[in-house]
Amino acid sequence: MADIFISYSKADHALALKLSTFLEAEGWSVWWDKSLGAADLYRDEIMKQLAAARAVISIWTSNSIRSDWVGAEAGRAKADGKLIPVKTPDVAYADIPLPFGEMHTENVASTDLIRAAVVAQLAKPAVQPTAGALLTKGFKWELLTWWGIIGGAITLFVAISTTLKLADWARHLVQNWKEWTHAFWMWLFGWLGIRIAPEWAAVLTFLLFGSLLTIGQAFNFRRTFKYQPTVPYWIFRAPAWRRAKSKEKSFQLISWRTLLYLVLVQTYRPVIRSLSLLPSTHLPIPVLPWDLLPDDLSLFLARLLPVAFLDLEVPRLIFFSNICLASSNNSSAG
Amino acid sequence: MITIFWWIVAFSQLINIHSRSDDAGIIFDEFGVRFRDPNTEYVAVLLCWGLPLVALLAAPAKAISRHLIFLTIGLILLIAFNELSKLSLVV
Repeated sequence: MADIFISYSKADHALALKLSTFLEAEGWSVWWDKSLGAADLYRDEIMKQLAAARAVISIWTSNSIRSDWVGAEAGRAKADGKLIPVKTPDVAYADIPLPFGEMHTENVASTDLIRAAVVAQLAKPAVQPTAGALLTKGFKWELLTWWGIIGGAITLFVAISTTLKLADWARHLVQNWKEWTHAFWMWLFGWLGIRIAPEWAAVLTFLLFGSLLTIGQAFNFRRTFKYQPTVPYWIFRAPAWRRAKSKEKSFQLISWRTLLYLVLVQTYRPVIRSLSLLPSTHLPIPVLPWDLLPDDLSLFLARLLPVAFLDLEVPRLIFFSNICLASSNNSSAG
Repeated sequence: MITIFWWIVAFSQLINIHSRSDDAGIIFDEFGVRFRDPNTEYVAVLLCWGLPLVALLAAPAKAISRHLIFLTIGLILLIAFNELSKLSLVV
């Protein structure tokens, strides 16, 4: 089901198309009756979509103020508390049928204000949560995260225990932790007939608790910030066309392509060297981030920037040029 | 932080895994660290980059880093309690 339902008069098809294009480019899914036939033919679908949408934008124009359907859809949306009315400049507040004429109504060209109104509307909970639900909201994911934190801290403490002079309780903890985790992994891999060395038990334990931490935060974030872009727009936000493609990925911090490039650039050197393809062992090979020498860093950035530009900037330029083009077309048509 | 934690675990554990042949790891030679098994060293290097990658693809960096700070605080607390308890303080 779509996030936003657009209610409009069939005579304003171009206006609805432009608005839906803008909203979809922002990453929301939009439903509007694209058919040019009578609305009565699609009554069931319209009612279903109207009920499911979390925000309803009603476009008041000189045509729609006389439309019974637009009035009915706006009335239903207002009753559900999800109406966002917009109007064309030629329509005065007095022209809009009551009670909608008393509502604050944005100009249809004010895309920033419409975006803000939609964000505010979608941030409201779809269903009023119960007191119990509020108390336990996200608790299981936080619990998972804290299991990861506690287990990870103990695993790291055990890993560095050889460099410490341990107190009695710490020696017991380290000893038992080693035995428990090894026994657990032995039991788990025993099903597959694989014998795990004690060294691998510590590594697997660290991976397990790290995964718990990550999974807990991933689900917690998805649950809380599904519709809100929370990362700086300039660098780490996925391009608009990609967010429009899938709103589920709107939280993505950096595009897949750039991240893959980062990893490949930094991984291939040790790989090449470990395969002994390079005869010299004195090449400045960055294995760890802090081993990046100034020369390597500049080379690294020189390789990264073109990809970052292609990946982030070009789609955005295309997107804004389309918007500008649509605006100029609209102006010239007006 | 994930990288640092990974190397703490890898250097303390994986470095001791023996190779079936006489070969030893060469990647960290110039840093004065020698893995006994080159394949294990290779896995450790790949995971060094793979773990942050997986974490960032799954969850936002801000949330992950905030909770990794808690993990660091937990580790420091364990070390601190270990040192304090050796003083045999009577409360």
